[in-house]
Amino acid sequence: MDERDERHQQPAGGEEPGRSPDWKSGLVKPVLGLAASIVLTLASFWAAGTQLVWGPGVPVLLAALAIGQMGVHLVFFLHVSSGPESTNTILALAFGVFVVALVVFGSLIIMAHLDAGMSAGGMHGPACRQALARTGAGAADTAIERAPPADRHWNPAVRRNGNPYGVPCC
Amino acid sequence: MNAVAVAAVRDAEVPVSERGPSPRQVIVSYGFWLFLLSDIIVFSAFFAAYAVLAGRDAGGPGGSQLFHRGHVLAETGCLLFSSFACAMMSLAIGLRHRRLMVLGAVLTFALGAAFLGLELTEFGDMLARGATPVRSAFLSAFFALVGLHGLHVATGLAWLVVMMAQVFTLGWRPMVLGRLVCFSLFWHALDIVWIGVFTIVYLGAR
Repeated sequence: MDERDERHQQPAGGEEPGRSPDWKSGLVKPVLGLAASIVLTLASFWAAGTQLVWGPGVPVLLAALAIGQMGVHLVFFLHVSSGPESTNTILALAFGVFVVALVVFGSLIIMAHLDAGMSAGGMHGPACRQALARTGAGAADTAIERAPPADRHWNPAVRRNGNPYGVPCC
Repeated sequence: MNAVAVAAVRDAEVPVSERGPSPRQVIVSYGFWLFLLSDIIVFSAFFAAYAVLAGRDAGGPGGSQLFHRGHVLAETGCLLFSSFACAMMSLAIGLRHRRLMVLGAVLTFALGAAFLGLELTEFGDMLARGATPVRSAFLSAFFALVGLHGLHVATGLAWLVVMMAQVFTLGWRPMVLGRLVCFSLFWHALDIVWIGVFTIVYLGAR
């Protein structure tokens, strides 16, 4: 290795490929990371089964614990830091997180809307045909037609009664 | 004045834009980091598919009937301690301590294999109960996502064996050391993906 190689003790996104200083200073990060990960993992499993936390709050708590643990892994195992040698790593990471969020939340939102438009919240196939037969064909659609256009989307009454988009469901 | 001190003085004077290309290892690590991020984006598509289809069990068995928390906790522990053993292996490599490196590698491999074994047992149990990937959209998405992660772990195990063979045949060459750094990045990234899997798939099961 020439001197240029030795300058960079901490390459982007990884441990130094050269020599580590010694066991003592090298052990600190992994041991801290392991301890924090064990605590966060056990907390996640506890949170998923507990009655102590308000029900709808549990997913939020789980998400917070998971993001915290991912941060612990990034800092203590993947050695991502706030130092100047990590700038490119963090920029790439930020872009990666952005794309991941776009893919996941974009899919969830688009599929939820498509689902609401196509199958009217579970009223699909035989169930829908029975409902139509009971009320007379098209009655469900008339209820939706009567609602002001702006309400069709978000009005809970319209959503409960049937298809919020007025698309025939069966 | 040694080479590092000379470089430090030069760093203080020369602006970043004029220092020329970074050392090879920095560029290789950064490139591998970009690969890992793109791999995580692939995973995100599988996560999105699972999140959309999680409730669509087509009258078949749902997540809460199929998953066992204790089993998942054991899998998580295996992968976490495997990650820790991998960090120990990296440390031993930094100290050029071959025996400790082998110990770290053996522990990393054993815990990774134990994880894979537990996962395959779980899959086998589910298949035996009729919860096959063709049963429902939920199960298709489940096997695709968790199976993809398992496939990555299996690839990582094979890679680890190859790396050990390279250390013993080629020695501490910069090329081999660089690959070992990439392996440890890969292994830790798989643990990050598993955090998402156990939180969303297993703990979030309805």
